[in-house]
Amino acid sequence: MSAKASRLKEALLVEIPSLRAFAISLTHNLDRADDLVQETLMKAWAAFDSFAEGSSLRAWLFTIMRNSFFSLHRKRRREVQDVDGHAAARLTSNPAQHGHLDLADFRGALAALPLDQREALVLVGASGFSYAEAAVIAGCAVGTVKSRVFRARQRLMEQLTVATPGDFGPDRATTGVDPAAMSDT
Amino acid sequence: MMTKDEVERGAALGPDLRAHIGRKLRAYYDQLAAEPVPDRFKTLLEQLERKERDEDPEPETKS
Repeated sequence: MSAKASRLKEALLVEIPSLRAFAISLTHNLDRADDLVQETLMKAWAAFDSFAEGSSLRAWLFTIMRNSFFSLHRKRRREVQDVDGHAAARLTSNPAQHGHLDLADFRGALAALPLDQREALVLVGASGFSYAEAAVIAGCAVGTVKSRVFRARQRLMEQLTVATPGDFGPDRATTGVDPAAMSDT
Repeated sequence: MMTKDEVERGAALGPDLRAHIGRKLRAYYDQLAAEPVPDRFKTLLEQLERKERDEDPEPETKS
């Protein structure tokens, strides 16, 4: 039994950095992220008999984590909305300069995303899960994950190009007057 | 689920920007994952392992 415990300990240690990254992207608060990781490790340890050997340990751990987070989130709904609001305010008062997307702006833009979009984007775009795996972790349909990822990317792109929409393509986002047209008057 | 408007906006904003966003997201995430693991987690796992061992010791291990 202790050999199994050692193996489990080693397997979980390996997963901690990516669990921590996911926790931070969900909570945007280092203390709460670490508490979430702690809770996840304890739950995983207690429930390990239910883990299907050979399936993805990481996916299983991420599922435990996001379920813990969202059940706590429902209780703390108002608090989380404030966090998103502050992050969004920070973003609009400090737009990307020269079209460069530095990580601080990016972090703010990510924090301003609705939670389900942020979760989907992080699972698929950063943690390396497939859409199918992400759907299992998030407890929704694959189409829903795809839709959320799409919207998350849209929102990020729109927020991060506030200062320089012209750099990146057709001027659908610009509202300025054409200087050539003005010269006729 | 995706509106025609959303698809058009997505196309208008360009594949280069989408790729850039993807890289930034992974860079941000990798930066988080590269942080050193706080001791509290190693300590926790060692405690859990020890508890498991104490409750159900291997017959061969005699101290």
